[in-house]
Amino acid sequence: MATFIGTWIAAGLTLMILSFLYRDNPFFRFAEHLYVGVSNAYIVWLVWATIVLPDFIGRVFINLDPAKPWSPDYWFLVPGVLGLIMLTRMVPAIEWMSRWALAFVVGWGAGFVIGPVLNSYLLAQLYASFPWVNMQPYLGAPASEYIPALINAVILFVCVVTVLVYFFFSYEHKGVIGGAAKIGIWVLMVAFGASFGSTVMARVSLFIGRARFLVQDAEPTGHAFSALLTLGLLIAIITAIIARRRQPPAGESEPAE
Amino acid sequence: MVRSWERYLLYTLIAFAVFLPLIFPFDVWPNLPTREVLGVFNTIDGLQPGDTIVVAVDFDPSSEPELYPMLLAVLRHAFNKNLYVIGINLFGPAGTGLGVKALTDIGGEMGKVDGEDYVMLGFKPNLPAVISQINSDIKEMYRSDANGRPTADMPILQRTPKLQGNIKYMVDLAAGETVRPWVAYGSAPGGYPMGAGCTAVSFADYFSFYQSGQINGLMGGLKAAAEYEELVGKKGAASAGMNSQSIVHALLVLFIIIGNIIFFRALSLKRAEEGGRA
Repeated sequence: MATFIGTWIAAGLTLMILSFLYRDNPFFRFAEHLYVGVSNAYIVWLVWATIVLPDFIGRVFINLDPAKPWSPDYWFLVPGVLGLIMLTRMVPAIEWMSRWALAFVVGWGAGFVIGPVLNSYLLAQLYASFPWVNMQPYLGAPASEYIPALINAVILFVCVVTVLVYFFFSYEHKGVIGGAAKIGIWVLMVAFGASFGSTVMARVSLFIGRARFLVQDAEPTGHAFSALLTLGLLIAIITAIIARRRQPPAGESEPAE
Repeated sequence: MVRSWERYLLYTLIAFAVFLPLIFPFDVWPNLPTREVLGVFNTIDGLQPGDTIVVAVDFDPSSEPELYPMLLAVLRHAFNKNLYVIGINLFGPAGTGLGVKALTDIGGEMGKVDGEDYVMLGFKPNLPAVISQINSDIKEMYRSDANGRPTADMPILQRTPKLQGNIKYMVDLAAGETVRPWVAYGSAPGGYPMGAGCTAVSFADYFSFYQSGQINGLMGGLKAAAEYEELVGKKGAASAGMNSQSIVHALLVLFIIIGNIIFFRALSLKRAEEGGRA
């Protein structure tokens, strides 16, 4: 029964959010605010229960598993205190203290990140752009495989170089540099087109997920009832909004003809 | 300028294109697996029973329609091959519940035991630091799992105390930017192969990692999830959604063609009008 009620609350909230397709309205606002509130509360609880409690309080102050021997690990006070002084940003008089924590985060982050990022994001990607690297697996392959792979490898290399030239602003984009930059911008447009196509697919997928929930999950035994009810509720909400907007505000007379 | 009734007409047509195939399901188009999806499937398929893999549930409910079916299909495949699965979530706290539900549902369906055959470790902030730490010691970072149970004596973590040298494969199902750090701080220094699944939005961004060989498989969006379902042999939410997806795509292409015809017709009429005035 609890699942049934929960499912139908979710179905109602989905319809309220979808009512924004008509226009901004109180149902949409209610669902939006409820979502923000509930998700924030959920995340605060999760962070407390799965991070602060076991990784700070449970290591320094309290034994969370009394069945096992425990001794406090005071090293955890260091990140704990640094974390707490981050909150001093909310008090203007002692806001400067939060910079210690930020300095630690930035210093640690820069030192920790530079090596792996250079290695994985720059060098490995650069290496994989060279045609002779991409052609290694195809050495000795039949022409039907070798030639398409060679064309791909050359296109990839030209695309990388021309896009880099497009973002090279130390020389005016004229002559050979200008021509390469023009090809580079075409390459970028193709990449944006591919990203946009994928984005459309992703957004439609999200709608499909909600639609599937409405017509199948909300009524596991059959589709007809939930589909009709869904459609009916949607029409009812939109009709209510239209009717409300057509009514003149209280105390106002009809406009003169 | 778009008139309001035109907007509502487009919404209505899209709604019909999505709802009707779900209400009246049909099975016409096969979801033929692409090379990128086969990369993940073949790697998991080639593992031996008793090997351990990591599945990162790096998404939250806002990406659930695309990535949750992918997660179910990958778990079904792994459990079917009798692999041990370590679930983890480093994207945001809200993803942990999805991981727990998927592991419990599919694990229960396949007769697997929580803590022995699988575990969901839950969320920790600071992704690079957590990945680096669990590469060398999981239990030091995760003293309890997502359900709050101590990990000290958990059989699956006794067998796999750290990722480096112990796991055979890692799949990151990512809604955001988590694939990059998993490559940089996890797979590359840890020396284990990695595959990824992502939303369709991120597919183009992550393809460079597939092309460079840093990940050996890449699943993008609902379509890839449907392909994996087809490979596993159990069609689910993704396969059902692909009928709607295909029809909506055809409809969108039609809208673009009609929109261009109207635009160029209006342009030629305007030019003819201006020519007449001159």
